[in-house]
Amino acid sequence: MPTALLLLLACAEPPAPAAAAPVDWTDPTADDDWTGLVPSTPIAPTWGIAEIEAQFDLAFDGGLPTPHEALATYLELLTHGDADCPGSDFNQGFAVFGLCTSAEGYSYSGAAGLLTTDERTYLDDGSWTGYYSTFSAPADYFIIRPDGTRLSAGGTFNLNDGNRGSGAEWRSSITGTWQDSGHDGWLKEGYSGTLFYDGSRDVEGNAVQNVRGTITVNGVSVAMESVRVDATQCRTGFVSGTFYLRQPDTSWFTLILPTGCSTCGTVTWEDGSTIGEACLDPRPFFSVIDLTSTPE
Amino acid sequence: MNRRPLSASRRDLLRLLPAGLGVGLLGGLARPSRAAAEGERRFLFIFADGGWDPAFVFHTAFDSPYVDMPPDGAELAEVGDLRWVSGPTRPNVDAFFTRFGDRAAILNGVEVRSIAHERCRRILLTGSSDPDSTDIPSQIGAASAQRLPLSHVVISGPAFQNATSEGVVRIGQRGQLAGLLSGSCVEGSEPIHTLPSPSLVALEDAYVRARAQSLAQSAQAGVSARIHQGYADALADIEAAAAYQDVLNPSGSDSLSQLLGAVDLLEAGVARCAIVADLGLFNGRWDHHSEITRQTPSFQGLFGNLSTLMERLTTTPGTWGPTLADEITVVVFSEMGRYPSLNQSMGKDHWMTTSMLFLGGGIRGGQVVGAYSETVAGTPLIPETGELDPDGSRGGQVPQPSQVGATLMHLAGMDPAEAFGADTPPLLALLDE
Amino acid sequence: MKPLLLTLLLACGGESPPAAAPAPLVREPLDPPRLLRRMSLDLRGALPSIDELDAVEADPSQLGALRDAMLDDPRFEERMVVLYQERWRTQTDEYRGMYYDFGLEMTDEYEFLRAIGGEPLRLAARVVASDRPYSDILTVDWTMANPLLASLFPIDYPDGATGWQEARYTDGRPAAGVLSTNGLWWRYVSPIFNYNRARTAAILDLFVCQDILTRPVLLDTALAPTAAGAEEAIRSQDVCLSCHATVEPISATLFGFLPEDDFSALEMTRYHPERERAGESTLGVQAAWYGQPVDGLAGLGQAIARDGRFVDCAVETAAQGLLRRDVAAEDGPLLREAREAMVQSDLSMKAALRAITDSPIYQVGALSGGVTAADAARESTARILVATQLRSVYADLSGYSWRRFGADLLDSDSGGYRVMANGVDGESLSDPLQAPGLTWALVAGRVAQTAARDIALHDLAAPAGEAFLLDQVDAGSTPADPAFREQIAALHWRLLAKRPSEATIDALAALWNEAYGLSNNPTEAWATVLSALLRDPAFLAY
Repeated sequence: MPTALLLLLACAEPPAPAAAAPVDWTDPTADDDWTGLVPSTPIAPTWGIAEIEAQFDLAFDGGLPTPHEALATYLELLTHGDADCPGSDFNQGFAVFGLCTSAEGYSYSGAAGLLTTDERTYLDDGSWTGYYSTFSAPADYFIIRPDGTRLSAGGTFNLNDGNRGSGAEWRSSITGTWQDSGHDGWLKEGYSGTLFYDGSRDVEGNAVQNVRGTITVNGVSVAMESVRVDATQCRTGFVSGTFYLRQPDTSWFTLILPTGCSTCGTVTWEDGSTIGEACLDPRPFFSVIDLTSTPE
Repeated sequence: MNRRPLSASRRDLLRLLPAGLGVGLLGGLARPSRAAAEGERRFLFIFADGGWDPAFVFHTAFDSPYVDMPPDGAELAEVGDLRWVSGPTRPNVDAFFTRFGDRAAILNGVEVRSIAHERCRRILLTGSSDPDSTDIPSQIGAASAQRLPLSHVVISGPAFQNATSEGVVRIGQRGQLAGLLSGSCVEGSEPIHTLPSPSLVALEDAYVRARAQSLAQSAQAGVSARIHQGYADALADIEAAAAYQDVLNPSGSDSLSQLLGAVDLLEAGVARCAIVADLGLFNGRWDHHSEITRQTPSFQGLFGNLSTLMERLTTTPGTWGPTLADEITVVVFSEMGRYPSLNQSMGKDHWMTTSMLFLGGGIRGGQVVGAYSETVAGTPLIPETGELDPDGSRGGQVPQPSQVGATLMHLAGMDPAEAFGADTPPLLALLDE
Repeated sequence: MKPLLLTLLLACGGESPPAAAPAPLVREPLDPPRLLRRMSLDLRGALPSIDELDAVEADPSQLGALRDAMLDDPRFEERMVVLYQERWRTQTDEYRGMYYDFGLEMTDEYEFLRAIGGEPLRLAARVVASDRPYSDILTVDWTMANPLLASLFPIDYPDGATGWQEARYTDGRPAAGVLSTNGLWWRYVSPIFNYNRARTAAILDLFVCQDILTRPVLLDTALAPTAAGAEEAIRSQDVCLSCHATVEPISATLFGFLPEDDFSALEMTRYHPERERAGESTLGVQAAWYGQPVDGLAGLGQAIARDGRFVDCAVETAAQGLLRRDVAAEDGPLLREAREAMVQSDLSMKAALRAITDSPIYQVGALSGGVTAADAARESTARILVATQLRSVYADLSGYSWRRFGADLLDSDSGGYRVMANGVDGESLSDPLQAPGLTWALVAGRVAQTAARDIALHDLAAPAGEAFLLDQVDAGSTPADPAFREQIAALHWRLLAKRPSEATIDALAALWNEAYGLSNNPTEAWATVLSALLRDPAFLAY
């Protein structure tokens, strides 16, 4: 290459200095030593087996929350209203923004209603196929009795019955927050959770039911998976079930019942360590084993 | 968008007002006649807050396996090229399209690219997700050939201004602006407050205006100058707005009263744009994640209001057009659509494609522009003709909010390319040109 | 080759003419009294006293000490509530729960709304004001409550106490600071099938300044929009995973706050510990913060507090609040200094505030040197007082308040003037506007007129030593009295932090005379002068 050309190439204007890069003031690598200010705090179990069993008892002693009790209470309280309060029949409910009081002295506030669907096909023998369901639409209200006690509702419930004649089958649920200071059991204490039931009953009347979901009652929080009771196969215990119990500092115990027919299982902590063996009383589950609701 | 310097027209306006006019004066003064500039369109935006379900009116998806149509016996209705969803529980929709369909154009398949309420509101109103964007009504208002004291009035609903707020005026949810102008704002105050007499207010106003002008002229260029100049302009705007107190106070806080109040403002020529929010049934908004059937009474109410609105517009003589309906363009929209199928609560969740309705001035009515695909996305179309281009082979684009903004700016006599660039063609298919 | 290379090197030796360097931007600070005024307004929501102004005028080196004293002033905590409201936007005029759900009356509505929205703001303000590590806002096991809030929510309020106090929830919610407050989640709601994703977007925006909602949501047009399709897309489609890979694991920690009915005050009031475990199983993910597994909501709070972006965002939030604008790349040195100060002081936000208020970017009053158009548009050489600032300034001056049906009109929107006077309402306006407009000027004017009359009426009848502002004159004072001009000068100094020229005093005295001539009433005349000063651009801007 001719020298002159090389000189031209070599002596080209040096590039203008690059504009100063914006100051990078973020430091995602976090090389500062302040990270030690918030150490992670592993939590240790503080309950032993006796306390764990007592907590489970406390959660279930008032009975398992069911939509049937909530619905019955609501319908009874609705009968004490009138045309002025809470007003005309709105999906078997009401919509009161504020508070009104009926002539009988019952006060209503919020929005309540029921959506019933009747998809039954009757057979000659009086049985029926299909289903009948009642669904809350909505349930966001409180109703105060003249004595000052009140039913407070915030959530949903669903009662779905099917196929009478070959026994019965159902799917039910109650979710949200429910409390009635004028009732008893779990409803008096107040319930928060998401409980789902599905079960069936044969023509001999033997029922089997699956339970799953979560509850907080009496300040005790429990989650349940694959809980099954079967009046034919096992009248004294659970066919299966996994239970989770919350310690107040937000950590959870796990109780796994062996499949078959048992009331006792191994309790483990969040880190997998074994706490011991705890036993559950199945009677609250058997007391609600048949959750049909539809009149024959 | 920066405000233009104090113009000769504004100085002229101030000279028209008698010296010593205080905002405490009520009546007793003929307000300056303010004819709208010849050919200058005005705009009314109606915002259905929360996300309406196009399947209730605009999206005739009766054969779609994915769209849950209203469960009230909905069926297809048509008048000419206009097609909509008719339902026995929404007769106001039929009544509206039957009566005013020739002035209405539906735009389907607008792609919003977000499903967050705040973000979608911004995108629909500004044509952009840029947090520094200014909404289309504000820009159109500021571009008026006249210096309007209230270039864009927010009666209710969202507004997005960059650091600029000049000319954008909020009426207040309960018409508070009128009370501030008239002085009735102190009524019922706790503790009791009183205002000076009008003559004292005028004296004080003159002093403050002089101070503001002095500081505006001496301030160094930059934020200080903008603040001082903006304050001086705002004081002048108050003077001008005071003459229009009677039209600055809608008779009620319901949607229809606000709509008619907006028409009063636009008719009086004191504002170029206005926005009103429609909050649906019981003011519960349109965000029905449960019980989507609540959209029925909401649409029923909205379309009843639209009929009343169009009745007013089509029967009121215009300033430069035959009627106000020829001078005022109405844009009805919601920030997003709703998911095609029902969720477990019998409601519908958010969806990033929606429909819009255009009425009145400059709109080619009696048509549906755009369409939803089978999967309820927007379908590409040719913006000049509205012809669908499903595979995009002819350069079609899915309608974007930026294109809607460009269309409105085009209608307003502005160059949309300045705001949106040359790659955002207006949807000329919507326009009667 | 070597000789050629040498030739080239020799030929190219010598220096090239340097490119002309642009003149640097020079930020000229405000004069000390006006700077003191700015700091006092930003840190206390109040004007400086005459003693403070005199001290700084005599010895500008006092500014730092006076500024430090402001950080320990009782009014500082209240000012921090307003600063955080402008960023966190929890104080709206509408929540899903209504006052009548709790048996309250309409006249209680304003206090109800502000108690709920104020809870997370006051927690942050208390941490900052008490100089605790800033990370406490996400890790402490207490909240802030007043008696009203404690009557609405399951909170154990201290016996015999009044006002806002540190208190604790009694429903078993985790120790996660503001992440465990009802006030945050009443503002940032989540319908049940949203599974807390909108709340996660809020967490990312508020605490690490990552606004994921700016990312466009693009539809895969081939994907069938079935219910299962949407949830499946979130877990498998790249266009969705770009956000949801981060969002889902965070959302999984919030299921204790997920209501079965988001319109139910009952559901929204209590924490639901039983639902905590449902997050991971419902979303099919392990709870995590940007890939780091966390143990529930308390673990999330700790993980965020350990993230470097948390401190960055804290500094950015403070800077935005004090500069009254968004931060820009040019603010890098300021932000870095403030962050360093914060880190070196065990995460003291006060240390960051000192660094910010010490910086030329904060103190700027004028620009010179190489000023570009971008510089002129960006630098906050002045700011305007927005509604909430007007409220605190007037309250501090004279106890002024303007209410109707129990609502403070400068702090509410449905019947008040907060958004109309450039305030943040949490819904339609997310940043305080910094440009004057018609409604802002109108509100500022009416507040000035009413406050001026209140003050004049009070002061001219008040016993000695009890006047708010007019402490050198009485109802019988005339322009001929020496105290007359001294009073005007004192007003000017107190309200504007500027010594008036004789010409200015003359103008205000002439205003007084004209007002007296119109009204024949010295109280009205003083009210006019006072109102004119309160509407002066130098009062409304700072």
